[in-house]
Amino acid sequence: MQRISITIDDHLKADLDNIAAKGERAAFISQAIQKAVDEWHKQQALDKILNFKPYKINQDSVEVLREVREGRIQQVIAASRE
Amino acid sequence: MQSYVIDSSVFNKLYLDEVDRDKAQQLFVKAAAGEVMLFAPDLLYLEVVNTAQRCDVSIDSVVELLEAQRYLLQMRAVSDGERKKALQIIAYGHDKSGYPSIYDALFHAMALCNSAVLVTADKRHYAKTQALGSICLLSNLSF
Repeated sequence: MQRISITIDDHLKADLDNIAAKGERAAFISQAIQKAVDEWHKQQALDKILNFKPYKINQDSVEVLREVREGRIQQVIAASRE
Repeated sequence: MQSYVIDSSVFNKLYLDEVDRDKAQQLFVKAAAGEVMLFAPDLLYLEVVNTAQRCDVSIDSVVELLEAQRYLLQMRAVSDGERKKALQIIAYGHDKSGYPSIYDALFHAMALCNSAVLVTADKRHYAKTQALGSICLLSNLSF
């Protein structure tokens, strides 16, 4: 566990005092920070998808995947016969 | 909250300029908003890299994209129950139309075992196994 010091607005402090009792405040804030960090990571992941410049290919990727799967099955069959 | 299992065929759309890329992105927009949960067998990681390699796409950029998604897409090992369900699924087919591969089936089993819906871009797998339920074609997905 790490101890950090942060500054918050007066009205937020008042809200916090109403919501969480003194003994529960650290856990409440820790959960809120964890949630915010998780949301930040989710948004970063989504930005990666939405900003990705897609590649143009000459094949249908569904067909390519099917070949990948079929190829692996054939490899397993061949290996079992060796 | 609705949960979706993402097939590798759907993730591949995220880095390729292909039809239904916007629908694949929409799934992740919903996940970021906390409206849906996304998960997949960790096999997805290898299949996506393998597909990118075969398509002559930069592996580094695809790996970076995959790594960043751990906050939106939970990738995990398949459980014993899910593996058993996948073995049942591969027997579900027809001599003429063919049987589902074990790799397709693992994704579908994960959905069936977790009250989730498998989202796939593979029309053939969908046609073979739609009667089992818990499966949706990416092109039919609407929010």
